[in-house]
Amino acid sequence: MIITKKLGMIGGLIAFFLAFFSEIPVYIPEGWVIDFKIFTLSDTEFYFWGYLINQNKSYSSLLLQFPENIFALTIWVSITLIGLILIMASTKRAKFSNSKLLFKISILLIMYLITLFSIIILIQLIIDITKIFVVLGLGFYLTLGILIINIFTLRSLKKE
Amino acid sequence: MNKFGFLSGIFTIILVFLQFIPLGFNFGVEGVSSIWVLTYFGVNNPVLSSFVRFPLELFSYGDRQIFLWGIIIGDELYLWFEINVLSFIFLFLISILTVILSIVGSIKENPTGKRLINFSLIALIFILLYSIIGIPIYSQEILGTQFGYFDIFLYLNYGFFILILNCILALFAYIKHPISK
Repeated sequence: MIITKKLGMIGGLIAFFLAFFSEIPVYIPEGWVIDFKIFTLSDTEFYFWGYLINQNKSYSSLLLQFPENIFALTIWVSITLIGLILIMASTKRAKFSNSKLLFKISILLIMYLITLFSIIILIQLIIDITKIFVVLGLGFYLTLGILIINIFTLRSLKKE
Repeated sequence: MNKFGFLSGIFTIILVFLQFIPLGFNFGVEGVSSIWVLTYFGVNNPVLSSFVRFPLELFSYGDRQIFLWGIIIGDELYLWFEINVLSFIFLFLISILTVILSIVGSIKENPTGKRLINFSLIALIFILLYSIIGIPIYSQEILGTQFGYFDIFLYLNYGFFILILNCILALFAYIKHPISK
């Protein structure tokens, strides 16, 4: 039970990192960073909060006028909510039934995000599928990781 | 602990103390956070910067942005007590009171805690009502143009919607407040 809750908490923190961060430095003199990009398409790096062009210009559809911003807003709010939900469901005093419901909602939200990004990536890679490892970023793998953590925690909760 | 009340308090803190939520954090001198620090404080931010700003203003009218703490006209930042004392009391001071009430109320699992959460809910509704009724009344002084009663709805921004969300959270906090026996 404790490991399950801790895993949920870690998943929530990763979701928050994906929602707010572009990179975390590991060793600055050598320029080693953990980059949270979801995928790269011709010099444009896509993140949950927006995108970077050539590593120096940034944009976010969040800042457009209503209703053009709704799509970007949905993506950003989804990942932020996932973080919030996972942390709230993993606290020591969280009720069992509430946690189960929250984990289910979170799984639905992550699956929505992964499906969305997978479709975009597949459309781009339809010509040359071998580029998949060049295009996909750590953010995508971490999102998959959150989904696995979520399914694992929900299963453990159900067993208990 | 009342989680909804605590979240409502955090949302109010964000609205009352921040100009924007920085997104895309990176570690370097480039980025909007660095530019913001350089513009308002005149120093470089060598450590933490960000790429994108998620705006928190209640209303945007031309080059004027209205926040709970004050107003930005062009590149100039003014607090409410410099512009309009009534807005300073109703938007800023009551917001600070709401933060204290909701956080203290969410920790206390007794009838007093519920009463505090109730006060914070009423205060938030009051702030919301003042922002859609009071701001148009004093729009000549604040925005330089006299607004009609419903004109303000044409200039809503993210902060206003977060305020509505905050009111809903405070309502849930009041309904679901745990009272331990």
